[in-house]
Amino acid sequence: MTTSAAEVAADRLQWLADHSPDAWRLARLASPAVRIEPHLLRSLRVELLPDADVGTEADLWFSPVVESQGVDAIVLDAQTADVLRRDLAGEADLFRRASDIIERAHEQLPPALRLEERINAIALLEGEAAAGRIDDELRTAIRAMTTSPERAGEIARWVLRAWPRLHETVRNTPAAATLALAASTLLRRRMTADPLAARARLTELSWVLPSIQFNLYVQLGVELLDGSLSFVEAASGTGLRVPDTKPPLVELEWHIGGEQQVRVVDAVPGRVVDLNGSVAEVRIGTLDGAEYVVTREAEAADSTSAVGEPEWLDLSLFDAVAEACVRVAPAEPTRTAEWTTAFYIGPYTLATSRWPLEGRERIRIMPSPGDDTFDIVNANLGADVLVMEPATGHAHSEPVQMATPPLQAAAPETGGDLQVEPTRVVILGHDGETLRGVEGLAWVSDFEGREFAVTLDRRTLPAGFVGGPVIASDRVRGLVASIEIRDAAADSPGAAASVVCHIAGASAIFDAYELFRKRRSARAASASASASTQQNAPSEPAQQHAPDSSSPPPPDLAQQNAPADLVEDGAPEFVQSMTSDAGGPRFARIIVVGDLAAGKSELIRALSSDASPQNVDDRCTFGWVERRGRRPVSSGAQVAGTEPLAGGPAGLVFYECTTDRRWPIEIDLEFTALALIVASVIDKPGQSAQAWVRRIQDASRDVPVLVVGAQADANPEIAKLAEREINSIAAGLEIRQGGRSRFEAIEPPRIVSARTRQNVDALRESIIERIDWSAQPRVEPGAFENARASAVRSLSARPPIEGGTTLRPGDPAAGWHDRLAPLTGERRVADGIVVRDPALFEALVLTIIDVADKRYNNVPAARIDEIGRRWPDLSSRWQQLRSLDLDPVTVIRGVAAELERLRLAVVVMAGNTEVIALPFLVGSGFLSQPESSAARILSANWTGEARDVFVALVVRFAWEQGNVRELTWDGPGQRGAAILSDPDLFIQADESGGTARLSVLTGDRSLRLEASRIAYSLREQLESLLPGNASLSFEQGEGSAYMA
Amino acid sequence: MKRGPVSLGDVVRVNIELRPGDAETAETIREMLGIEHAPVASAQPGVGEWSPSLPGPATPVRPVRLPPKPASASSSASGKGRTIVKTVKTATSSSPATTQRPVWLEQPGDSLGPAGHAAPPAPLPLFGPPRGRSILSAALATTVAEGDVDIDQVTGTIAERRPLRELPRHPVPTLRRGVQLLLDVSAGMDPYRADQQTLRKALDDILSDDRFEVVSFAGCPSRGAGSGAREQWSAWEPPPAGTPILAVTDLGIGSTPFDEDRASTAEWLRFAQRVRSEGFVLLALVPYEARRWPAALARAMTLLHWSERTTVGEVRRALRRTYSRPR
Repeated sequence: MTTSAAEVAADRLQWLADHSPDAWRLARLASPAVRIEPHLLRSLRVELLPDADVGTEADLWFSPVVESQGVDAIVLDAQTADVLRRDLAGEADLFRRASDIIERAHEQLPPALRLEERINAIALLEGEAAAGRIDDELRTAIRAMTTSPERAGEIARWVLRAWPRLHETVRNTPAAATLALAASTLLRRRMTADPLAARARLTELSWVLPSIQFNLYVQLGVELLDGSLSFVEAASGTGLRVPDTKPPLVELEWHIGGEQQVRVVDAVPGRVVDLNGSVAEVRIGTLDGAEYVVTREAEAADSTSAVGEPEWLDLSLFDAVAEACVRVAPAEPTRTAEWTTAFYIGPYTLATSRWPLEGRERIRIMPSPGDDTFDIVNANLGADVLVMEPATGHAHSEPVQMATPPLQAAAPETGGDLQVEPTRVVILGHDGETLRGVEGLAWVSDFEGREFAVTLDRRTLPAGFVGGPVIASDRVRGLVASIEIRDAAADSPGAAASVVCHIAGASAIFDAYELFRKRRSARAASASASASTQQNAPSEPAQQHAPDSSSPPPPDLAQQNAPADLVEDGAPEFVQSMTSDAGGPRFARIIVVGDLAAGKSELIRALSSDASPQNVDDRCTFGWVERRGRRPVSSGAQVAGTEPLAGGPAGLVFYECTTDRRWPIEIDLEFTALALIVASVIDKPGQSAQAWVRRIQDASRDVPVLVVGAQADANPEIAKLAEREINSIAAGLEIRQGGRSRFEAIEPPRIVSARTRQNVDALRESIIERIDWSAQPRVEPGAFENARASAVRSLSARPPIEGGTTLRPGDPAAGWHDRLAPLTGERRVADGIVVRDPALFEALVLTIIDVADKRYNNVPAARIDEIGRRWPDLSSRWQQLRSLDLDPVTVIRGVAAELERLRLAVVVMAGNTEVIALPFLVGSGFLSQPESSAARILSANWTGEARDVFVALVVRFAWEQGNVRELTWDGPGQRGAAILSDPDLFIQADESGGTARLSVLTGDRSLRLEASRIAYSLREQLESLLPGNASLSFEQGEGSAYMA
Repeated sequence: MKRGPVSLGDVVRVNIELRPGDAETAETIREMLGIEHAPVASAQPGVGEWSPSLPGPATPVRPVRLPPKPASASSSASGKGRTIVKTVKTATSSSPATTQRPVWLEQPGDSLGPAGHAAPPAPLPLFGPPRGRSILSAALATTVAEGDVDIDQVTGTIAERRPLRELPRHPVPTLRRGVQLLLDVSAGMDPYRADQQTLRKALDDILSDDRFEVVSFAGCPSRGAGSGAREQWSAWEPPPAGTPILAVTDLGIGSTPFDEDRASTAEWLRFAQRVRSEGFVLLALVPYEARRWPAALARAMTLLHWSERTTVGEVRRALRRTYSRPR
């Protein structure tokens, strides 16, 4: 069952109102605050809730309406706070007083947060009437954005975080729209365009965009339908050219009945805009001032466009790129090498080439004084790219990124001479897979991407030229370059072609990669269709080559070897060359955390391409986290999946780790390349993700973190809500991790579904992207393949817990161990928690035994909640059990359930407390025979075993009746069991030949009525305990009164 | 160096395709592609930092005028009853709108300031003026027989013709024995962390340094205590004889049920018994009202409500109850 965020908020508030009405009132008063510190709580309580006790502050602090708790402040759950704020606004005077207190208390807070509190308060109190005033307030933020890039970034991050918290009146102001656009553009974060629809004209907003924005465009197709307008994928070179904001925004203007309609919408393929009627013409304006008019076909006859008219594009940028290519003069001939690679050169430079044209030449660069690590590099001259290698004797794992620009001319005696300070270099020649083995050596800082184009005569192109390989590795983080012929339809020698060179930052990588994949797919489809056509319709081959812009690829692409194919062809050799002398591939440890049943295992399997049964070992999925050695760490005792990459140069090893969220956990992130937080979209994803973010950050703030909502297929509507929550949390997390620096252009998926594979591939790419491969360990050749087996072995080899092999020698319960051991190979002890370690299960039982005493009606028993609390007191056993970093109550409850299933214990309620009663520990003072004067008040016979039923029966009975003095089973010389209780009741059971018999006797006839009541109760229980097919019969004894 | 639009990738691809066996062939290929293998000296200088372009590029980009052909997906999107029409770009503005800054932005106005680094203020004190000092003094005072001469006792002794072996004096309260302050640093006390520091400072003001010991613990002092980092804590050590012990704790009332530091009533009882057995007075400041105190603890130690509403009289009454109990 799923619940909406509003329902969850309502439940939480109700809980708080029921348990601490004062805390609810305090939460209400504090709700206008972005963050709530102790001093604010104190002031609000003392001034506005003078009757509330000081403990109210803690009651709120630890209440479920709090989304996050820090040492110095709490933050209310956003949905809950919204409900409370609106409620408080109903008492305007009280709201104002609370706001005044908040304002005073927050004088030290960043002005942006205070602004947020202020404008939200204004909006709540005055509504739309205050829009102008709010707009004025927000303009101060806009002004601040224009003062410096640092301030712009600061404000932008605030806007992104605050946006979900802003009142709709605030969000509808023009200034808010401007801020939203600026923030989303600056940080390249997708924001909803809805607020823009109400107020803004694009021409009023575009000024806020950085000029660079107008060098990044997307092409969009558009269709004017009857009553609506829809955006579609554009064929190359066609459609609208829209500045690539996130999302791309356009302004639509049309007329209905003479009335002008204007709307700003996000123009993404698939978006359909309802025009509220059939229109003949729609004007589309873009942020860069361009205007398009979409008209009906008949009305478009006067178009002035001409086929083949050349495009006029900026050549200067191309020149700049061309000049940036590095040339290195040869200094001495070297051996021929059949490989090159990609390396960092400067802050905006990455040189890559997969293929050598000539032998490498040694040159010397001087990265920094005294650092000779990378002073020897190999230069591939023929390919016009610079290739660097660490000097001999330096490990390949040393990151070339340590080399700092500027590169300097080399000393003559050491070799080459670098003629051009390579501030930037065009990347060509790689696709994603090729670079996977070397991305650890390549690093590019944030790179502002752009696109430009040139117009040229096709005669200047070599025959068969179809454009450059589009793809650079997404793992190179920063740069992609390509050359693409956009207008390839005109194949006459004199026709002009539009050649577009893309150079873009990492944000464009996915787009480029997608383009590559589409082309490849299209080629394959085309080839397949061609084969099919030739086979089935040989008489119409011309159709295969008819120009058709709507069905890529262009003819020349279909006929030629696409560049990327050439690159791919060489990938294996390249990979081999890169790994042959490097000591083996790198592998990255990915720790996957999240709540129980969040879908972690499922997702890992989906992420693992080799998730065949032999590669993913189920036995390795444990539900708890171990601590190993002296250091209490959780290494997550599980290898849930492995993922070799690109044929072996690198791989991922997924570790899974979970615990009940309420229970503390320490996660070992040492040697961890990335933490993936998985929250189920149908189970409080925001709360879950936030909790795990805190846990991860408590462990380390250096490890990259990805947050995703899983199980998106369970409920698409809820998934949409979850996406917002996850996005908000992830954005905040990335900001806390020091901004977006290396990753800021990458926007990973927030919602995934392992079952439908929705966004799984994108997530996989994002994981790969974020890993600092240079820091990941290499393993010996073959070791990666063995990593999985190794992990399994290490788990299997976990030493048994001392004392687990024997149980109190001589104790009557000792025999129990022997019986139990074979049964405990695998136990599900609670939802989502599976114990697959007999020794561990045994240790848990021993813990219960340790805690149990005879306080509970003489039956050894222990309160479940007490067992957890007493773990620390269990001396040496605690040392063994501390490895269970799990909620003890949950574990013990599960173990108790298992013991009950085994008929070795009974869980009963003592008041409101669950108690595990352990009858098998009773053995002393067995009264072998009832007194001769005892009267039988009940006899029962049934088919099947007596023992299990008896144990359950008498323990329940003992618990209900209390004061059981003795209880045993299998005592010396006994074939049955007996219980002696007060009132004097003797219950005995035995079995013979598959028939069990129970006798209830009492030696005190004066208690016959009481005994009869007890016997009646026993009968009821007996009936409930026996399986349905058991034959049960009762006999009336001479003392039986109940039958009457 | 002449750089043709063919660029590097073409060289790479062609060489992949043709796999030239020697440098001469490779050079020929380059020439055919229009890329010369220029001598070293001919290399172009660097072009410096790659900065964002200006709003208006040096060579203005003239937007593409597209031929009037069907939109890309028109053939696939023809819905029932709908008419798909052409997409034609008919007009554009001459320059991007990036320079059209609003008028108000050019005018003087307030700008949102940068974040400061001011420390958050302290909460309103729980034992603040005017009676906070009196409360603390009353709570921590021990008595010594150093007051005025007890005339009644002197008179009585003399009247009974017994020797006056020592001069009896009235008891007076004193803070000279100081206090051992036990601060609970468990999560349950997070909301009162600043209050603890305020209290510590207040005590520091009224007690001499050599009689004021501050010890931290988490949950219950019996788990370990110390003045440094938690890892360095050891078993709790009692103060010099006669020194009152003041614990500032929630006694496990607050926090969440699954807080590892949360102490049980039994733990506190054991600790209280130990403290009493060693002859010390154990007081606790608890930020929860009395109805929430565990009854057993309220009997075993002196609990004081840490609240701005607590009065000196209440503290004295609590202490009287404590000292009236048999030890």
